[in-house]
Amino acid sequence: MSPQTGLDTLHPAQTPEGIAFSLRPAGPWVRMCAFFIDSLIGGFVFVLASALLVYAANITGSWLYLLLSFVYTWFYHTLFEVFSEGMSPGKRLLGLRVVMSDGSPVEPGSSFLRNLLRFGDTFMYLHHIALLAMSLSPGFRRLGDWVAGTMVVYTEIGATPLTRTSMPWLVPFTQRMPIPPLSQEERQTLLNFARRFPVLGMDRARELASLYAPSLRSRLNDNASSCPDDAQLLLAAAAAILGMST
Amino acid sequence: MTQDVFVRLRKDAWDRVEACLSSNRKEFREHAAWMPKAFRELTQDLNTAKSNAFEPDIIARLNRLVTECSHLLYRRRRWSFSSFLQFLSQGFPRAVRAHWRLVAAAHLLFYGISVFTGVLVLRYPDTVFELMPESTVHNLREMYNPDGDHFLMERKVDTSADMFGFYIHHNISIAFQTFAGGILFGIGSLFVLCLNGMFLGAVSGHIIEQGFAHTFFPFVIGHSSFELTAIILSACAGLHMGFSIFVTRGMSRSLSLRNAGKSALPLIAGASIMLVIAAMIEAFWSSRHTLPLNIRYGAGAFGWLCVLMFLGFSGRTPSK
Repeated sequence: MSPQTGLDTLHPAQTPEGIAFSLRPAGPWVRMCAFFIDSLIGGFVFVLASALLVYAANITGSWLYLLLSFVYTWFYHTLFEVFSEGMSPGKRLLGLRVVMSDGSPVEPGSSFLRNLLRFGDTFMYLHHIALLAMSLSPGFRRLGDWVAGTMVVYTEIGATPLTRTSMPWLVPFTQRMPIPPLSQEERQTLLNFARRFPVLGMDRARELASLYAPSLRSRLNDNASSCPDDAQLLLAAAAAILGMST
Repeated sequence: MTQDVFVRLRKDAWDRVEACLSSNRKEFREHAAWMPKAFRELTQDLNTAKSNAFEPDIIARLNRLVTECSHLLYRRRRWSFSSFLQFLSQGFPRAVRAHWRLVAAAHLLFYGISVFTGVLVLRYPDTVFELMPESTVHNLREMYNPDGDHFLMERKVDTSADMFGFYIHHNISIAFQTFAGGILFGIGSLFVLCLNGMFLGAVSGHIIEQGFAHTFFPFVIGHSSFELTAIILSACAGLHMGFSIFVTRGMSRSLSLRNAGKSALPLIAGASIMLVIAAMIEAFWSSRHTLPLNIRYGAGAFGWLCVLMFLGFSGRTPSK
């Protein structure tokens, strides 16, 4: 099992400085919720404004209403994406953002394209097209995203700064063992496993550990006597990586 | 470097960047001096943390900071009136000429179908009822009947403005839908293109057959140059996009689609600007039926000449 492929949905990207970082694409369901919220907010404002304009139609004529309806139908999302850092109100509420697929801010032309193609994605109100395209593509992209080269990712603006705590629950599992020769992804996975251990419970931890333990054992040249339990082996390895075994 | 030393040394810098990111964007000017440097240091930190395999939550935090900072620093905001003018005078006609085969084919299809339908309706007048609902046919007759009520008085300005709003709403929506329908393998664009060609032919044929030609054509010729060409161009953009799924020229399908999107963008953007012009002409000029026929026909012909010359020659670099 190669840890590089397909373990999660993270999308690799690069800053112009050539530093790799990762984006977390947002799936169909959370985007559907964002769309729903946008429809509620936008629809509410639109109905209010058009009530005003229709009331004023005796003086101004109905052309204002028609223009407003046109702009609302086709440019609601584009305007917010261009002028509000890739976030329409619904996306902002749910912590989503539209970016180019290299992680840079969305370009006006691309935003225009992806929102025009909303019509193609939801053709005849068959939202299935968008759902299908999202489910079948890496990065959960609907057809408009393919054409415009964009992607919807999670942002974590305003998330509370992470405070790092030690992992005292590892102490009982700590034992003398060499730091295993692992790749960076494997180390991260092990540490993530160790951090989630209290939430998982021993049984689930064993289940998960049994997937990975054989590969680890073979590299540790472990004769299975020192640590018979898979979960304990993984936790001990995590403790060794953290430097707790000394 | 061990993790603890690393965090102890760098934590203050991270907190500072985080405070700056969560502060109001208006106050960003005050931080502008040190932000780029801090960003480069952050990217270094992220690399260090990754290569030393520090804890995931440290990497996650750095990753987040790098993402947000790069969004702030690399924001592209190149809106200017001159770039818009340049697109209009050079980018758009160049894009049309770059796709001239597709544009020519779409024109042939559209006008071929409309001439065919027109002749059909002239020869067999009853077929118009097969092509359109009866109420539409009666409305058409009402509208272009020279003895109708609305030809007796001049149209008021506010109704012209209303019609302008309506044409913008209706025509540009159709153009956008024509384009977006193209993503379904080009079928949507093709369908709308053929349907519109058929309608144009059927209406013209029926009006000629009724003998209302001298009220219909002076009205249509004024804006048809911009309107019909723009609808055909938006269909071209959609077709180009739809076909790129099949005709990949050696690229992966996704890349081919992405490139097609890039080259279709000027077509659809230019077409929508043409439709705004068409809506203005249609609302404020075409309906002025009290003007002499010669002027109206002349203006219409001038419009066609403008469109042809513009799409054919604007933005060409002089040959050496």
